Amino acid sequence: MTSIHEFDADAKKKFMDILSVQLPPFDRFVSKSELVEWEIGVESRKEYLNKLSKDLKQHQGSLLVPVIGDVGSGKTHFLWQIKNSFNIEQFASFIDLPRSKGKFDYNIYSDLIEEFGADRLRDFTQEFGEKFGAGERLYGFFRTQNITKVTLNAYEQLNKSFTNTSALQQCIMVLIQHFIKRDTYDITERWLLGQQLDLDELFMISVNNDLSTNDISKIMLKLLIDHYKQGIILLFDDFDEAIQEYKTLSNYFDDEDVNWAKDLGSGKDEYKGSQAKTEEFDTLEGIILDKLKRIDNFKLVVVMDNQNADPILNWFRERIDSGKILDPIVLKPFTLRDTISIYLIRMKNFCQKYNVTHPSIEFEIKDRSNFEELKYKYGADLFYPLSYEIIEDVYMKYKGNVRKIVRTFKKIIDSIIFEELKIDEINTRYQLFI
Amino acid sequence: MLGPQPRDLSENILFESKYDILREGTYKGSILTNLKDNGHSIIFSDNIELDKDRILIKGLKVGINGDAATSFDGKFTIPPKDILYSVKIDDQIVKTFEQERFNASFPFMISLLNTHLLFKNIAGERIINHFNFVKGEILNHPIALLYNNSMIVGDRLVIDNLEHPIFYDAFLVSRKAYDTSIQELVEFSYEPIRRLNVKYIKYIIVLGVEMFK
Repeated sequence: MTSIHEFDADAKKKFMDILSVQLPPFDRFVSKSELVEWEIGVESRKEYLNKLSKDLKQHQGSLLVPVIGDVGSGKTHFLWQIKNSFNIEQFASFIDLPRSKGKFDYNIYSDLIEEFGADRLRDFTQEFGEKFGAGERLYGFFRTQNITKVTLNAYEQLNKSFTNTSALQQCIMVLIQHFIKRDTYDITERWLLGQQLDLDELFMISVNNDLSTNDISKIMLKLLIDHYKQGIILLFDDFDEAIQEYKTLSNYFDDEDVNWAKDLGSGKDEYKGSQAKTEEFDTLEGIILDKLKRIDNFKLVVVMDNQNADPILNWFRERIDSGKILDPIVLKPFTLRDTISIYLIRMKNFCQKYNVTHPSIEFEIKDRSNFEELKYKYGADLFYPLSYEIIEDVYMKYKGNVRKIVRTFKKIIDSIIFEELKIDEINTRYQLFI
Repeated sequence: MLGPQPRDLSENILFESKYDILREGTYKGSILTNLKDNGHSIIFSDNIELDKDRILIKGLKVGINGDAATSFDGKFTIPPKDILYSVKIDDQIVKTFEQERFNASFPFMISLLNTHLLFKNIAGERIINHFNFVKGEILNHPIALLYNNSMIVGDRLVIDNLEHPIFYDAFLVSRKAYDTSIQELVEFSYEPIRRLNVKYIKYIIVLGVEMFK
């Protein structure tokens, strides 16, 4: 690769050649919870992250964290930043709206455990087992092999919080076996990862049901969230839309092999003392409220549009302690500095991905002086093929709306790629595309 | 001297008949004691009380009696003259040993219900060798006493095609047979895989899981 100092006509031509044939830097202007994002956050978003990290460190127990912003203000992108942040100790996982009301807990657990993965699961079962006596060293060297003793110990300590004690016993049995018993490790791992098992496999691990049973998934969700030492945060994108969509969902189960007679009646009062009204269970808010009350360490970040947020937040405020709901994080529009940063970060990522030279490679978002140095060093070339004036103009026009800004950058770059605009006339004719 | 200095483990030696060391007091942790009795017994314990008249050990005593292995758990009061040495194993080694024991890469191991003698070769006694019977299998919880009274405690044992034992996830307490300084007398090491020539082994016992319930 040529040196950055030689960003001359040849280097620019090479850059444009690569830009024309590869996936352009601004191709993604909408963030999705399903599509992994590693892009680092801009400065104004880091302040929110630092505050959230501080709040999470100080807070014990369940917590609802509302994140509010306009359409295109980067709400989902902010969730990805929470997920990827090193400052937030808890394990963060996206959850989605389930396909049917009957399988709410199973779906949430499946989403969570899929991201949680087998390695963390192993750490978790070790922590869980050690908490209830599996960590005891017999004669100074050997771990106990007495699954029944450890299971019973865990059961005695935990059963006060659950009504379906048989389901609780099964969950504990699998967790302890996963840690202690190696010959059934594969089966217990599959059970814990939410896969369906046949009767022989269930028999081998001394349980009757797998996680597709509502009570089991409900209990496992609570055990996992309450007993994972590092803590777990769930991230729920477009919560306001999900609330509306939930009302249209079917009440029934998807699976053919569900025991209808049994399962339809269960699932509403699994945790002891649950007296939530039926209508509350018919709404997504009601279910989330129930989780906040019943799961000791349920931390949920919900993302909502500005216009829908107030009634939803008021609904929660009326029903839970003020300590369990944080003041909303209101995402402000991008600043000019954020806009420049996102432009240079995207350019830098593109150049690194395709091994091509561009001054943005030297850009460091953490270092404020770095930008001024680069501006001095490269002048207008720093923003090639656009210019500082174009970026500023786009920022002003869209008043810091991230999605519109990134989409406009894409349009201008596309106009160059598809030869609607020549590179030397970009500064005079770019306005046709914004 | 170039290279890493040998670690002084003399503080981990609680009793050593060779150097008349006896650290009086009560110790907790992972303690291994080798006796001078006819059964060449080893005691695994988490608690030991030492004074010059008697040593009180609470733990699991494993050894041989004729052609069979023996294992008892309980409190043992032993006069110091009947003990060869007693050492407290480094915590880090025990932790590594434990972590690897829960490695699920070898799920199909044979755990014997009762403690059994797999191999014995002690001067003046009948040789016992059941290697052929367990060839091709992975045995759980093997322990071995060597001719220089070193010990190996493993998680798994396999017999290779030349009939030498291979210990997996094992820790070795080696005691030097020749004259040496106290600092160099004992060494602890964690060995992910350790193949041993069978001629250096006094006995191999496979512990039964009934002891861990």
